[in-house]
Amino acid sequence: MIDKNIKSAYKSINAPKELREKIVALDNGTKKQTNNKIYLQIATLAACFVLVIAVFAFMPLNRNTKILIDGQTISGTPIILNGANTAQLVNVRTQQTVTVPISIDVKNTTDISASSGTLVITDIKTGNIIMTDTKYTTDEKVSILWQNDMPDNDSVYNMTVKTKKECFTITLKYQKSTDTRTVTCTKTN
Amino acid sequence: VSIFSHNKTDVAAVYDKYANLLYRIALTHVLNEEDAQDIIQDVFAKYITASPVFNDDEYERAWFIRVTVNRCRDILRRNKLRNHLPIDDYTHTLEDTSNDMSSMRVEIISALNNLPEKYKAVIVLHHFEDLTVEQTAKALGLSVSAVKMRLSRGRDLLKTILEKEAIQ
Repeated sequence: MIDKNIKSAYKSINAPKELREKIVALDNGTKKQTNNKIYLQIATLAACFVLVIAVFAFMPLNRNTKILIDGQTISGTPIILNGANTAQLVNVRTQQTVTVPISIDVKNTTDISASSGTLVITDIKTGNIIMTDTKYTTDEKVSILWQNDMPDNDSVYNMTVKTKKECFTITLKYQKSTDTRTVTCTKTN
Repeated sequence: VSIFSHNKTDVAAVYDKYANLLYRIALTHVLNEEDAQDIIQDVFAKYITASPVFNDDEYERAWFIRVTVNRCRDILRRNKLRNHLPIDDYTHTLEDTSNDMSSMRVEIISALNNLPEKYKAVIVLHHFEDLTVEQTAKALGLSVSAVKMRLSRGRDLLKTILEKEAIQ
């Protein structure tokens, strides 16, 4: 039924030559498109890389722990708790205390401890007292009332704020002769 | 497309290997050179974009044949309401070396055209493209017994068609 002649006639049907050129052109077009996609991907990756580097470059600045008293950054220069701060002088069970309102803005886990007195930790958003203790660990911004008994003579109290990379010592000095209280903050490492 | 995708096979080489086979299959199905060329382009476009990986040449050939036959079916469905190009029109476009050969081709294509599609594919692959029954089954995604049955019925039909054409 299907002899050699029929089969050879059938097999003599060939794809037109111009079709080959079209397919090769199609392949080249796809390759070109693929190359464009690759360049686009590389450019996107490079942009992401630059962005990541930029973020990391600026992150340490943001990570600095900020210690403030009444919104004022404290440093090595003493801050005198003046008249406005006399409001911090309160009577608790007939015992006068000196209270230092400190706001600590941290980015990492931070240990806060006082050599004397107590730390009244307040939720900065709600104003509710979280706890009262001599030490506290936090990883977010907190408001602290550092309460000390009013000393009878010149006294020095220390409070330590320690992160993984930084350590600050907040010093409260009381000078009886002038009845002044000063706060300083020094970075110890 | 991944940056790390493997290098593509030389499409020109693959084309040279399968183009004539696929073109014949397409032409016997759609009976129209333009449609057949479109089908081959679609098949190779799919090959280029999908970059399939084959275990061996037989799988590769089976993939090409199956994609071509499926594409032919799509085209036939699309053209369902459109009449096929008359066989005479096909003869006008043939680039030929001999008139006898040309008329014989037309006879074959005409005879195959009168076969139902499901018999046409198995007859073309097995009897004209010399694929074994197993290879035909793999290429068309059919069972071996289904291919054997279609071959038997297709042959009977083709014989009847060729006898009628001989009488005419």
